[in-house]
Amino acid sequence: MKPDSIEKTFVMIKPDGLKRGLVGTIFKRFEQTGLKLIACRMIQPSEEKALGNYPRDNAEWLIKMGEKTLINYSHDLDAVKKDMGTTDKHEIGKIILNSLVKYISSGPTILMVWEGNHATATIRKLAGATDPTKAELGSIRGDFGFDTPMLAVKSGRIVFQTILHISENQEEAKREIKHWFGDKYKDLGNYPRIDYIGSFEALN
Amino acid sequence: MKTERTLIICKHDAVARGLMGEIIHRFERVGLKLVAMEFIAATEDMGQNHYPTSNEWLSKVGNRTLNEYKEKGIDPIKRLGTDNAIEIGKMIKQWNVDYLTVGPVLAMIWEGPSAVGIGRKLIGETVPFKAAPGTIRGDFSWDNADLANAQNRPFYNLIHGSGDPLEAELEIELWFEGQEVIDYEIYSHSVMGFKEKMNKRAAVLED
Repeated sequence: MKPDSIEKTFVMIKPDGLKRGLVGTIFKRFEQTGLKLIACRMIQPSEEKALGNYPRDNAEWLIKMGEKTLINYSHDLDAVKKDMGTTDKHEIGKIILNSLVKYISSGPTILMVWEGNHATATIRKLAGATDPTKAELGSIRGDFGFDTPMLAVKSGRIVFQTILHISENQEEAKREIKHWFGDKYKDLGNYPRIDYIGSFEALN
Repeated sequence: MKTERTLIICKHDAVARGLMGEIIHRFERVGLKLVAMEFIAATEDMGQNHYPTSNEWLSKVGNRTLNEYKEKGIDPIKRLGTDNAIEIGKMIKQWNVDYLTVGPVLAMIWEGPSAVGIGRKLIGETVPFKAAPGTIRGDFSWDNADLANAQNRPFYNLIHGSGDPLEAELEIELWFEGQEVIDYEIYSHSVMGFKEKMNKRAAVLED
């Protein structure tokens, strides 16, 4: 039986990753760290599908999103009012959700499930911090990211482009695999991966 | 801009060796656009339909091997049990089908001007040993005719690319039947309208 440390996680390459030609680089970095592709499809999500991924009726979640924005503005309420038209956290949360949905459905995305030893932590490390000014060099966002929340707001996009989405934990991975793949999900992981030779190939 | 589409498959050896990213990267780098992608375990039927079934094709494939055996002094009856070109063609087709269905593969449609020819150029010659350095096969594989012959198998050459635009059409229909191909713009294509853009910009600046 596979130990618990061998996880499956959900990763999405967002439209900016495809339009900028970063798909191969992302695949390569995952493959280099011994991860195994389990499922992969390319889709352009409808707004409805994108919206369905977020807890849109959860006021607490929306308020939390609004709070993040206030923090990004260092609680300069005048500036928030000027850019967002409101200082109400719940309302800001709704605006952000709307922009998130627009971003995800603005172009093609690649849906993937990767498996590996501590896959979630490994992939989150490879992706780097969402803020590219904080993402380390050598991480995908550190090497290829430049967009920040403020730049996004100033250029009328509200939500900043982060190249990738990765599930935060196993629970979220399960939910997201189900949401994004639906009945098209098929675990194709029953194949040998040469990087496992000499380590855990018997668990393959 | 007249564009073509080509079907590219990272075969199972590329998947198992972790070369998908390298292959995708090369297609992105040259400026082709990814418009469909799926990780898929091909069925026996798909494998059979991927290769032609006509006697003409089978005998062409069989005769190629017969000629090779003749050059190398190999007795086809001893090695393959027959010297009939069509029978040998069928055998070789089955080896290829087995290779395509042995494990999951990454099927993709790439789009761009002369996409089929550019794809074939990036991939390199069918026989890895003969593929030039700088091509995918030349850089990542070394399989040769002696080895493949001795083991009664096709060349392990990492990747499939459509041979011509018509073949591409048929293969896309087979691998992505009824699926949506995504229409979007990649940023690198914007430089192709570079001159017009500069002119427009100059006009704006003059105003």
